[in-house]
Amino acid sequence: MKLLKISLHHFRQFYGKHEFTLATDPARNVTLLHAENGVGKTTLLNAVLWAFYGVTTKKFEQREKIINFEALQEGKNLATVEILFEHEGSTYILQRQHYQKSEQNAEARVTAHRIENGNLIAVPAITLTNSVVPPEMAKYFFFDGEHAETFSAETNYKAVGKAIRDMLGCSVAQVAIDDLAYAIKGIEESIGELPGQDDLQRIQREIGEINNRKEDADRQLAGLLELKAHCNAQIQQIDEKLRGVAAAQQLQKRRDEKTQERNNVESKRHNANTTLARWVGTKGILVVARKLAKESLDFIDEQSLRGRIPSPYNEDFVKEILHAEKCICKRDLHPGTDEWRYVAELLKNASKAETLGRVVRARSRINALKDGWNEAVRSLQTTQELIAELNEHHRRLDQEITEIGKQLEDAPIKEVATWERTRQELVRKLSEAEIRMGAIQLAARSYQARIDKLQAEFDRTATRTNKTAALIDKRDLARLALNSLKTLLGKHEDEARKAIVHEVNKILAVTARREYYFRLDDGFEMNLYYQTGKPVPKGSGENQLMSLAFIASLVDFSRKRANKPDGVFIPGTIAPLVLDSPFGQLDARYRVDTARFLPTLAEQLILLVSSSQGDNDVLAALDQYIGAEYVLISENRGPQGQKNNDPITVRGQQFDTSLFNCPRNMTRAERIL
Amino acid sequence: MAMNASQAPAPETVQEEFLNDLLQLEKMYAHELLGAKAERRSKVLELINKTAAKLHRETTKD
Repeated sequence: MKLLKISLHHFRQFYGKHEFTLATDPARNVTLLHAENGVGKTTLLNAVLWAFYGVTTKKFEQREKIINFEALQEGKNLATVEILFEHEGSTYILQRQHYQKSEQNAEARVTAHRIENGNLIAVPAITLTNSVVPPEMAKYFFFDGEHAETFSAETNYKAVGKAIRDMLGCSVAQVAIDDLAYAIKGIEESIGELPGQDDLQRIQREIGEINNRKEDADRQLAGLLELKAHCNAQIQQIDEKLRGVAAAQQLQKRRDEKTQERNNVESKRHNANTTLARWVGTKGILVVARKLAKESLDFIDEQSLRGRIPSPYNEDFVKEILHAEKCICKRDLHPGTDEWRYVAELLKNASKAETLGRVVRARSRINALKDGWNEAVRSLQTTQELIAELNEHHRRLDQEITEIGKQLEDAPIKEVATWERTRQELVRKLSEAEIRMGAIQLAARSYQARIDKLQAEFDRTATRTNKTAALIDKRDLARLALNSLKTLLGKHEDEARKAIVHEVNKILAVTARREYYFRLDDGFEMNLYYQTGKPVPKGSGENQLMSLAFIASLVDFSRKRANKPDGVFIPGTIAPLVLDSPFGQLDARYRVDTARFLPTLAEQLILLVSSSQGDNDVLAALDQYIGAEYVLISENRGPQGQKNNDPITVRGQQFDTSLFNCPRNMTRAERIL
Repeated sequence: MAMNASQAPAPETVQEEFLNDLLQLEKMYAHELLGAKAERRSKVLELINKTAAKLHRETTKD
């Protein structure tokens, strides 16, 4: 998607009609808007958000007052934001209007049209906007840098994860998967409805009920995951505060160390438990085989003692006597005589070289099993001892951490004690959530196992008449396609995750002052860590840098992939970045470095900056990418008095951004490039 | 015109074709921005029926 033009009419500070034509040249893809605080930077960002989704940012003052005050006083009761944009080869016009019927009563209208040969063709506005930039991703694309703490409150990982998948172009494959699942369900229902298939209907009902329970468990798990993330983020914030207070600093430092130590112990314990689980799989057989081995050896030895293993008669030796028709005592052995039959009878139990070899090999293998068993018991004991030791270490650390918590709770400074109590409540909630998650995960696994079993029963029960066979073939065809798509999606997401993580870490390596690493987990939850493994507090400048680097990398990934269509994934969302005060929490060096990487990664960039953020160094870094540039000017009806004209110098030209004795209070835009 | 056995595509090829056709169908509906879920799903079912019949013809020939 590329924004072509934004038109505002009586929207907030903008009295009358104001148009912003945006830079679309790939080589000069940046539109730069200069405005001092309070003049209209955030209003412009909110105009885009409002037009697309009917919402504004949380910190937008008097959010419900959309119509310009001056216009309202003049009896004009309609405010409009119109956005002209290109999306996947078509041009669209999106218009949202706010109609103020009375002081208390307002109405919003949104329309969207595709422009085709000069004609306007109506399209569903919400479907269009959702497909252009999913609402869950809006805050990343339309970014309010002055309130970067919104990232610290990020809990809606599932929705963001889905939105990111949509941006990666997975939506078509995902819809195909959903449609195939729906078709499979319908086909199975048809099988059950065939005459004589009552049992199948029962199985289907049961599968449906268990599926509902499983979905409920999945929902609960997602909720608990969000709760955990929320608690963890709050704990991090409290820890950060405690680190900054002299009275709590030492104790918090000790707690950090002990917590780190406990994490190491937990990691070692996890490894030891994995070894134990592996032991059951690989060495457990030796324990089972031990009794068998012992009995087999006893049997062989007993038979040996009895002289049967090996047999006292060798097969070749007996055959030689029978062939020669002469016994070893020199007496004749004529075939058919009792003596000949007696000797021939010995062949039944006579041993062969092969039999002897087998006995030797069996004995050697049984002995090897015995040795393996001894080794298995030794390794089991070692692992069990290690787990016991780690459990004890963990218990001691838990005690020490609890003790530190008590000391902080009793701290003479009231604030510290309050923070600590809140922290302990959060830790308790976390622990409860983990216990509940364990139980729900167990239940979810058992539901899945039951579904698999019922599914197999369904297939067995389906009578193989021609009709059912045909339906089962259809279902299997759909199932095969569904599984192929799931595998492809998994691979694609994995590839995207790796590429994005690589790109973000590359940006951080160049821009960030300290050594950080960025991680994106399976659910697309993003986190920034110090090299020590400790998470960087949310809401910090580094996290803002991470967010910018992340979204720029995501856009970059989508853009690169759009040139390589692969049949399965549609070109992902390539939306412009509209960044209001993106350098808000960054210091001078971070600003310049960020100004360098943003235009290269985003296809279109709209930057709203004040003079304090858009200093000469930032402007110099951006200069080669700027395709359009505006200055927002605040016109005031009142006299100047002691007030400043807030002059700014852009491209060697000075602009007074505050004017006085004007006909009305409003903001206007002046294009300078 | 019916194909003879030597011209008949292998079952794997029929399945691959099915996947391609399915994605084409989904893409068509994604671009239409109509959100016609019921219509799209009925088309998917039609495609399954058509492909299953084709597969059945191929396997019975063998």
